[in-house]
Amino acid sequence: MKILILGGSKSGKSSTGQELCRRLAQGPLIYWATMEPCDSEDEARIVRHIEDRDGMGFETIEKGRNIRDAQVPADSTIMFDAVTALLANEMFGKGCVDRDAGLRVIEDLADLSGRCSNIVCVCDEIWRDGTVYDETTELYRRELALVCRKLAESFDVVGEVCCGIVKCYKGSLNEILD
Amino acid sequence: MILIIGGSYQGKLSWAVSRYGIKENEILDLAVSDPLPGYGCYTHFESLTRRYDDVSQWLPLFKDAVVISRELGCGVVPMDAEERVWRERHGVLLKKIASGSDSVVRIFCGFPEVLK
Repeated sequence: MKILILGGSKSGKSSTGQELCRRLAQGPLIYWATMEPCDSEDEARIVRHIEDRDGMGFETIEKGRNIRDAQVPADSTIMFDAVTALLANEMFGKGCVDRDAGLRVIEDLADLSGRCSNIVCVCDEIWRDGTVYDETTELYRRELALVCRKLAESFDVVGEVCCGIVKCYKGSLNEILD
Repeated sequence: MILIIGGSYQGKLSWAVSRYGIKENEILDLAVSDPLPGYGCYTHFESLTRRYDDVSQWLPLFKDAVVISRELGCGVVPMDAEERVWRERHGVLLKKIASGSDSVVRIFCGFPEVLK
């Protein structure tokens, strides 16, 4: 099963995704972390996330770009956290703006979702404010939305998390969560 | 009148085009033009409210049309007074348009959520 989970920051996307993965898994559980830490705040956040999932049975893959290079077992269930950081790394990681990053992320995530048994991709919802951004930030926002809409077309479930509660826009999680 | 709202890049216009069978020449983009009579769909309503303090003269044109607008209100209220005033008048107008609409639909990641 392929699930896309959207929501604001600290809305409960990761914990919801982890729970879905644990219930879906019939093989190895993989937590795919995409954040490339750039300061002590990021490092502290990573430690907190690792503690959060301690004892849940996840094996961690830390890979924030070129995700095609990592092998995963065909029967694995992947918690992919998150599309937001993957696109940022692919778009800005080389020190200049890579305008093709969005298309590459779409292809790479489609490829990854075909190589495992289940995948839950989480992504931050960043499109409902009135800020007029600079051209580069606006490109990132547009491409992130396109990645999500493209994934949403082929995925089985599309949901929005708010306060840890999921509302489904496509498909249903009732059978998994009940 | 039908109101379609949602965040940026969520597929609001694409959804409206396929749902209501709107043709390309029936769409007026308010980001590049002030409202003109005779269109079936007015998109980027937020651009109009950003340009003008008072858009009430044009509201009757939307009577039998699909109006598409971005949601603006979910960020931090900005320090800049003009930015604040824009969100304020935009929100007030959306409520007015919504109350006069037969249907209000919010688009999320390409999917519709019928609010009215």
